[in-house]
Amino acid sequence: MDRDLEERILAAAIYEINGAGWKLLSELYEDAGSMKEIFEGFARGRTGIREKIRGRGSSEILALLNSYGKNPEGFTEEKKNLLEGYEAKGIHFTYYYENAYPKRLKSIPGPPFGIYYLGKLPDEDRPVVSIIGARDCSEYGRRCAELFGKSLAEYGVQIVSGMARGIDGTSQKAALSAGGETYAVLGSGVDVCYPSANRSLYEEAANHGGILSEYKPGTEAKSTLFPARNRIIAGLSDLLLVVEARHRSGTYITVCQALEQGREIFAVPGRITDGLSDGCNQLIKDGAGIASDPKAILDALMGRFELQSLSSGFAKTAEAGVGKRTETQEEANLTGVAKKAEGCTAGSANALLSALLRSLEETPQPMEVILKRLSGFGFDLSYTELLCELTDLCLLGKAEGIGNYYRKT
Amino acid sequence: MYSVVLSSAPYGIESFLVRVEVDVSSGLPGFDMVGMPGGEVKEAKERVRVALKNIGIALPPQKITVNLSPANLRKKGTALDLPIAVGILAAMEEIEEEKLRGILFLGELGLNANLESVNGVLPSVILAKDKGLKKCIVPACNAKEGAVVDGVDVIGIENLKELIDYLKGEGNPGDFKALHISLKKLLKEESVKSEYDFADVKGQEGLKRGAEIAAAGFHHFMMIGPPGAGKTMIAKRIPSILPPLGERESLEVSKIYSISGLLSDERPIILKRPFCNPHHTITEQALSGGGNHPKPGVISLSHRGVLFLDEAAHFSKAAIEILRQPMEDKKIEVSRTYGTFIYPADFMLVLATNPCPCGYYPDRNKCRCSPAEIKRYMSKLSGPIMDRIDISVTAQSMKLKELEGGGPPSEDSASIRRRISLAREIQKKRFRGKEIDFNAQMNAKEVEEYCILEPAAKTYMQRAYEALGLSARGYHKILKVARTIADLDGKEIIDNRHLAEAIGLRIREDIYG
Repeated sequence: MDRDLEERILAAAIYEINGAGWKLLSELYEDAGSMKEIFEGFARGRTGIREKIRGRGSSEILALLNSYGKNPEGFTEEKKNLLEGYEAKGIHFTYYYENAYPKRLKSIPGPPFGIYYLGKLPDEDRPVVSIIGARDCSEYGRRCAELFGKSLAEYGVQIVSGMARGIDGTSQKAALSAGGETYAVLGSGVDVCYPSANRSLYEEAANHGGILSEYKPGTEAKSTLFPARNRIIAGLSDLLLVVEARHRSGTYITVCQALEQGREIFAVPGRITDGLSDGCNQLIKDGAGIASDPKAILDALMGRFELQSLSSGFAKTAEAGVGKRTETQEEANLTGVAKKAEGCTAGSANALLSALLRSLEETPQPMEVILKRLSGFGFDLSYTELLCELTDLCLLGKAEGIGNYYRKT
Repeated sequence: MYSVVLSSAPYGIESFLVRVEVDVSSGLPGFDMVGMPGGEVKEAKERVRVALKNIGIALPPQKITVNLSPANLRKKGTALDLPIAVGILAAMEEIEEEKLRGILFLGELGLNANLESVNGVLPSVILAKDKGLKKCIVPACNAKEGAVVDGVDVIGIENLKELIDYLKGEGNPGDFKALHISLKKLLKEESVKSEYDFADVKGQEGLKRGAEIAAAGFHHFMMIGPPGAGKTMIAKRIPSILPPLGERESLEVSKIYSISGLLSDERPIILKRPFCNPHHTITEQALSGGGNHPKPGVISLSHRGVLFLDEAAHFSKAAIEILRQPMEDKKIEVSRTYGTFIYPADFMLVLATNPCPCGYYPDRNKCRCSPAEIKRYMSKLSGPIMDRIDISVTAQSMKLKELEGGGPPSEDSASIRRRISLAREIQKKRFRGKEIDFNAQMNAKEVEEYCILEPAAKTYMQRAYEALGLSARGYHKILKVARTIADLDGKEIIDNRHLAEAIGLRIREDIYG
């Protein structure tokens, strides 16, 4: 049998056991020099092995090693079938001492000893950015996630995230739609799609990128597993981008782990009044990079990697920014009086339309707020008139209504 | 001796004539009652015996038999006490049977022979009128209720003793004057006063406008919004902008309330459009009408008025489903042990609900509900009920400034009602000779006939149909609402603005998906 394969079989066999983590297994491996030597050395009574395992109180590991000692060939054959069963489902396995194991993960404290994955693992020679954020994101967050996911993917950046609702999933979908690759790190077995609503993303990511997990196939998703999962998301990346996060949220845990791992952090700034941006603004205050546009991220990566646009479309998307308001300058020049005068003279439908578009935002605003803004521009509309105007905009595809909240599209 | 006295018993919201036959003849002393008496009627025996004793009339030591005819229908209620007592007196020849001809007797007896109030006086008096009877004798506290019926003398009495004097022709005849009340006059006086007025509601233009259109076309109306947005406040004021009840309508509604025992001396007749606001724990039976001999349910009590379901998503699914048939047929058929009863249930449904468990969606600064939670919350209302709702408005919380009343004064109910009355007049004319009264009730064919669009509006509607991915039903609902908006505007032809507003007010099934 191929030596590497045999090593991998033995690693998978022992890694399946609860309690056999990186700490114990790496100690054993460093001592013995190979997986096989751990098993055979144990049978021979090599010093140190039994003691190390005993010290951690795992009788299951002892039982496993014992059963190898009784019938090494049979044991290896049996465990080979286990791996082949995984392979039949498209699930690959690699472990810390193999070449396939992601180098980035090796540098973090407490890396996973083994990794199961569908598809492939991130390319070592191309940059990896993890995009994370709130599950219950705002419309603003969603659009930012889309923008960054798409623009970075267009430059060949691999996007890593947790496939969750909200920011995670949105950025990954955007990366895929731009023809890029994305890697999802799960808090369950790789064959368990969680959340199930992201099934299409799950399947697509397996084909254009990969699905990764340190948990053995079949493990159900559990919220207690997510913080550990987050360390891998951070660990796989060259740079961590936080799009929207509340103060003290799950995203924050990931950020802390990324800092511990020495990863570069960028955050998308938000409004100071917006609860969903509290976390990001705090990060910026604490010294995180400001992700004001995708170019900021690309610049940060530029030193380490050669970046080339996959398509010429990038320049446009990056320039467009997050629904950037080109008229800002012009607006600032207008004094309050001038604004009013503009409103008085502008009887034309066009002036109303532009005022209306200026009153709308990416996040849905109630009609009362829009009314107030319009009157600031000098248009005093009745509720009914505004409703009609907004319906017009919706039909033109320029706005979208959620109840009587409206937003720009 | 034998005697017959006329009375009535309720069946559904109608009453049927009951002939109380009494025979007093020799035999072993006893008191028997036959003719399918209900539980309350069986007890009449004791009340009558004691009441007679207490006014100094002892029952003779003879065999007394009472038969309630028709004997194949169960008689309910306590109104038969009085006719039984009167029948016995006639059979004892205390009073002349001749004097009882053409009179309908109703009343419950107390042991001291006082008459207590009974349910269902109004339908009984109407029955008396239909049967050509000229006089009804009822407990004094029920007299006003019956007095609104023309052509029947309704005499209220306090006590059995008094009645005997009256029937004997003794006592002061002035005490027994028939009461007549003009319903028309009552309704006229009533329409001016209202407890709740839209003038009290600050801000919330969207809700107010939605309520106005809904009231004008009798459209079912839904309000979605966070706690404290004023949904309940608006709902309570909807009756104040509905056009006043007509005479026929008032009698219809009062009959239901009479049978349910909800009329009193202070409120002998219903003059306002009902507003029912059941709690969300209400059972199916209470909503539809329940019991062996079912009482009208809440949906019937809101006939010709507003049925308001606050926190609609918390009602049991079964209870909500009950609304389906009545919303279609304007009546409900309740089948129970004693038969199938048809109760009218032509109500305007007003729903208020939060958009999600916490109530603040789509304000993501406050709402942290997951899409699945939001969907699950709203799905309690999905399907056929949502299909029947024409207008939906989302509200948001009030700003303190608005509550303090900084802005311009709000329009009062009277001026809103004036506009609505005009729109109703137009509809009355439009649907003359048809079976429907309001825009909301139009079917597909009628929509085609009456919802005439300007050429430009046609293009607009086409664009909306494609851009918004409307369903055929959604399309018709928009046209119906646009028709009402145009009616409020006094326009015959529907234009773009009417359509645009109707589109803005449509119910959006997709938003919570």
